[in-house]
Amino acid sequence: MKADQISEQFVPVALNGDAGNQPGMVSTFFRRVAKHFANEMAVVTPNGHLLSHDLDEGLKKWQALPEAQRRKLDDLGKFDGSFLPAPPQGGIVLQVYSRGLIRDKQGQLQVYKTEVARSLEAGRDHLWLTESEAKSLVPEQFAAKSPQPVAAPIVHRICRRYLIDLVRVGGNGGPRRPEEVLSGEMQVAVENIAGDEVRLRFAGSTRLATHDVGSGSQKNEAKIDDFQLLGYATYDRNKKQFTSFNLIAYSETGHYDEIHGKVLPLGVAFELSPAKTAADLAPPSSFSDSYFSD
Amino acid sequence: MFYRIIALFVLMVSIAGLLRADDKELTPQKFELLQRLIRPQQDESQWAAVPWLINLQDARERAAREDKPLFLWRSGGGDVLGRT
Repeated sequence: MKADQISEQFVPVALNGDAGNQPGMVSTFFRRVAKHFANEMAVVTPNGHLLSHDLDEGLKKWQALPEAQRRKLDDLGKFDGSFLPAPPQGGIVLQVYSRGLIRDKQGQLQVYKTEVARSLEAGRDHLWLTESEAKSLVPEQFAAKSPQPVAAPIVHRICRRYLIDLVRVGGNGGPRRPEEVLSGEMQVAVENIAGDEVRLRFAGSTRLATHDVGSGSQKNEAKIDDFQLLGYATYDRNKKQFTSFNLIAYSETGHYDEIHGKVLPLGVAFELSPAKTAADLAPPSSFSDSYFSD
Repeated sequence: MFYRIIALFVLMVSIAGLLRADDKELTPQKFELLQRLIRPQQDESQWAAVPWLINLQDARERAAREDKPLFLWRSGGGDVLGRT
């Protein structure tokens, strides 16, 4: 991908597969672009006219249009912003990366890549926590060294929506069903206090079931994966906010390469997102009305 | 002698257990290594350097204002900037 050229000469916009189902402007726009436009990239006018799938050709065609036409926006209908939920006010956004891993001959973990495009990069997602959820992660007594349980809705959100095989060959897995979280707990403890900075340590474990045959389960037998969780965060008592947050979930068996029939380790990393760019603010892939409540 | 053998046996079992645990357990010593492996590698995710917008309305308005065409990326089914 010519990242520099796209950044400088175009207005890059990335939309989900279901974007065309949105009523009003978005669906009208997509109907104009093409009868079928999915899993594709193209140079398009702001009014939805497809110029080219090639960057240079698209730019040439754009520049050949009269300036008045380039700058005029057609009325394509109402834009419904409710299809783009924003992160909760005062909450935190965590960037999530997921990766299939493999042990080399020495038993050391390495990045696992196959000929399948999906395996060539880390899987990505975002985790949202509300303000009250974020606050609940900080022990009320900063000096308390004994671990305290992390609120169950947070642990369940992590287990159901993020400890899934994001990099699975052949497709994305949706969130787990509640009953597929066989067990799960996480605790937080104050590890150190230096001035306003409180260093927290998270530790936990979960046992999860997968019933999808393409994800490694047998016809009548679920695939069971045990994940360990470990993390560290820094909370600024003065600013009343997290300044760092790093959590890792790891399972020896969490990744399934269905092309080669291999059960492999899976690692999932969570880290504080700067939440500044539009892409940082993209909703969690499994976001729904029940995201914060189930 | 009997107690020494028992103690030695217990010690050996404990060491073996520790080695196995060390191999599979997520320990603080392994934390940074795992984080490094999971996060995007240096040669990956060039697309992530692009300042993607996710709001089509904003993108259309900016394109008209800045006299630039849109570069439109639509995923097949999943979330373009979430799971890839």
